[in-house]
Amino acid sequence: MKKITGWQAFVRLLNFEIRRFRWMLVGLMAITAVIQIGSLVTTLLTKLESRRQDRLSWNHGAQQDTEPQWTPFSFVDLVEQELLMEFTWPILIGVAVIGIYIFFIWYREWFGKDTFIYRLLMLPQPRFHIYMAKGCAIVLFTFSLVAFQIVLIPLEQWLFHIILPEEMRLPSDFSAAVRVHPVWEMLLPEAADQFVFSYGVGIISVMVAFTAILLERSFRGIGIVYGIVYAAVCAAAMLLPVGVLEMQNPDAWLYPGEILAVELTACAVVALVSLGFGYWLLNRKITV
Amino acid sequence: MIELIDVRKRYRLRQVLKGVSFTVRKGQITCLIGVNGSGKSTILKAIMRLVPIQEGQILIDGKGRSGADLYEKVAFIPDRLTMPPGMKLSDAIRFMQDYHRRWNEARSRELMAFFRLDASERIGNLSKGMAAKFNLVLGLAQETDYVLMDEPFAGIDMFSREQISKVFTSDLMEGRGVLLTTHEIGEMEPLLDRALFLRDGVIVRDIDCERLRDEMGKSVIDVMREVYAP
Amino acid sequence: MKTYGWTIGLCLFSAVVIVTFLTYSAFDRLPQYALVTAEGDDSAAARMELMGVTTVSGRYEVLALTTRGSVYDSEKSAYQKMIAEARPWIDYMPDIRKLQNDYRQFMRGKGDYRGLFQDDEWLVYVKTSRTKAAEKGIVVTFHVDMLDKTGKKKNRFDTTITLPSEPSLPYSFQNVDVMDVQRVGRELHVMTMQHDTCIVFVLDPDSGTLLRAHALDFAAFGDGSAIPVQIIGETRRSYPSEYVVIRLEEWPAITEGVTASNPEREYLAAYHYATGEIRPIEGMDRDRSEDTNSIYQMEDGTFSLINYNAHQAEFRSVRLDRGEVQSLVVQSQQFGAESIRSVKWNEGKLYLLLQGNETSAVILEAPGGKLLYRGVVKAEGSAEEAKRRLEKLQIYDLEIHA
Repeated sequence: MKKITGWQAFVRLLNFEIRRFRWMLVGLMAITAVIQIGSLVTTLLTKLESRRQDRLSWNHGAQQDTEPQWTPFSFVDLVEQELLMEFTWPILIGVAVIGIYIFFIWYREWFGKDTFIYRLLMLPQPRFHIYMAKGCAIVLFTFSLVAFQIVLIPLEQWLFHIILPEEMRLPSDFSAAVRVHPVWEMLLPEAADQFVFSYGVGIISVMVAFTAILLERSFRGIGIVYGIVYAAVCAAAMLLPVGVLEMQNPDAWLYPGEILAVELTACAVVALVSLGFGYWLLNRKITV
Repeated sequence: MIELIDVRKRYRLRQVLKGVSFTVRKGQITCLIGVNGSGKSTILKAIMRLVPIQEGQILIDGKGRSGADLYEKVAFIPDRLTMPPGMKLSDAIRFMQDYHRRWNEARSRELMAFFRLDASERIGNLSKGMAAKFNLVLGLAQETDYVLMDEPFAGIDMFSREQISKVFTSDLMEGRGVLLTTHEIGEMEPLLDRALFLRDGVIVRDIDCERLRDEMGKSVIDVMREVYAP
Repeated sequence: MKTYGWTIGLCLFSAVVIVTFLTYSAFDRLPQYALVTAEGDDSAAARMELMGVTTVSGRYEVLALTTRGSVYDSEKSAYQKMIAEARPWIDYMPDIRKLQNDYRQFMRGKGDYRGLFQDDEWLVYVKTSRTKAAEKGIVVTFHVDMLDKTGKKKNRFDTTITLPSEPSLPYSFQNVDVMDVQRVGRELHVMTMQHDTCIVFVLDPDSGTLLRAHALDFAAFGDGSAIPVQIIGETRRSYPSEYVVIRLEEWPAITEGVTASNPEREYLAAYHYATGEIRPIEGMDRDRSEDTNSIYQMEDGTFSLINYNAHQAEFRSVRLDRGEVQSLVVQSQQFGAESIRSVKWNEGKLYLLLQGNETSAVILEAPGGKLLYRGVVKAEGSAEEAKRRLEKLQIYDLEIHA
């Protein structure tokens, strides 16, 4: 009889979840690449064609005395002025799909006549591995999409450089490109502590959502109410410290560093309570 | 031995199990009998921690059930296949192999051959009979001390039922404690060692089937008529 | 291993790309500028910060520039943005920052620094609250928190007084605001403004009672109709001061229902806490022309005025106990600059931000006028790069850090 360690079982479960979603992930990346690169290339070719037409009509006796001049622009200028929506849509699609999948990753186990949740709950490993594998899968999908976007930006800048002739373009760097797009700036914070904080809050939100789902799956009808109330209480716990304690208010009782400590503690408490509560629900209350 | 001691279970406001107590011993085939909705499946799921109970105890070989131990000792074959429809049979077997230490690969191949199942087929494409057989493969290829089965014959054609019945008399069941629920009492009766009659949320009769036949000249169906007569 | 390819691949891909991105961002520096010393001692400019904006790849970037280099807002960590700059004014108030460090518990919730007083023995905070009186009037409560620095004993008391209300004003406008707190002997003198009246309340911290109160009478100023509009206390709000300066405005009468848009005359009065004496301050009138900025300040018993426009800065100061006005006039040209952009006075020094072919900063002793420091803003890179970068840079103000 071979021995299967807890860690092995967790990795296998994680791998199982990853493989189930892999084509959807590839699809999201493909949509992002096609829409962003497609719109970039189309816009640049349109501008080149426009410039060619201007030159042609000047050569054939148009009314200007001097050769038409084009104001050069940078990749950053182009994104800011003409491509904001095109570059935003695929990101929003990705966010929406991952957002839906946070729920679907659980509910799919109960769908249909062949409810897979039986099989998962009867695995001879701690049930909490199911929770952790699904959570880690969501996090990995999110980071994969973020990483893909990071890789796309310099590729798009390179395309910009090879399509446009030198006299039409101005230089711009990677960081400027990230900062010009409000959604990129939000998804790709350049300060490491902001990155950790933003995605940390996101991860905690996933934990809260998972626990709310398990509440619903444990108590069914009334469980929906429990789940919504639980999520609302956690959201309040995480938002109230900075909302109520007033970082900028000189009359506030706590100093800014203390308010941050309260906020971080609240986030840690919400995370631990969600994990603990989820653990308890999976072990004691879940119903197939 | 699987022991249920005064187990109570409520679904919302309806008390389904009102103090169920019985045992399942190794080497015996025990049948849990009851009308539809009496709580038979609930008992099996409760043993497997798939539904919570409000009161009472369920012990496996004298100990409380912890996750890893329970699923190494007890295999559950529910009334449905419980694998994703897009999975191939070979993938489902690999899934079981990946997580269950007591998975017997050779036995799973034997059972697949016995039931004439094609490992490259997808779960969603199986007929009801083939799905029931594959369900048995997943449950019986585990070398567990106990096997719980929920309606193994439900909706199955006669020939598939015969094949499944042969499993009960094979050495696959040797030394194991089996607890099953079924409405096909007539077919299963010769194989049963004990019958438990569930009515109004409690076990009202616990019958040794051989003694029933030999000493009282009755069948399990006769007892059913007595217990469930309106 | 093949079956784990997706998991391993995604983990590696995400980790490598994101770590590379964060590392690149940490080391990717926007163009650096610095204030380079041309004359004088670096250390004189250690607390000076020039605020500006530049463009990088078509984007505006806000930065602060010192002798040590430049710091861009966008390069600050989240911690810096959230915490260190949550209450940014503290950076420019050294006494408040020190109080928050040394008396952390006492200073909680004490955000109106006009109510602070400290000396070697006492640390005091006074604030007011008000409610409507049963009959016409307002009930004002003084909430006093005291810390005896020597014995670390704390005391807290509230004392209440009913004041007549101003019938022409709605209740919500009838605040009694604490403008300054000083100590005279063992008494606390609290200077307040109620609408256009200055009232000094004298409290006994030992018994927690109000000893007396009097409204300041400015009848001697102008035709007697001048009203107080500004209280100028010690710049380091918590420090002791024997005086407080009140700026008064005299408005012309309303003619044909039309109010004038500017006051006719202004006066400055020095109030001496110990004696209650009100004395006019002469020779310190601000320049009220449109192109001139004026700043009043008081430090250590010296009341100062800066009048500056694009080409000239005039600094005047007077010791309130001695009454002699000293002045210093500087022109942008004497430092080779075209214009003066900003002027600040701090701890006896005058700081000027100058613009011309180069942006520069100058520190002078005031009122003496001795040049302590002159620095020029430079950019990193080759001569051509530096020139291009300097063209994109606009410095609009200077600040003196704590």
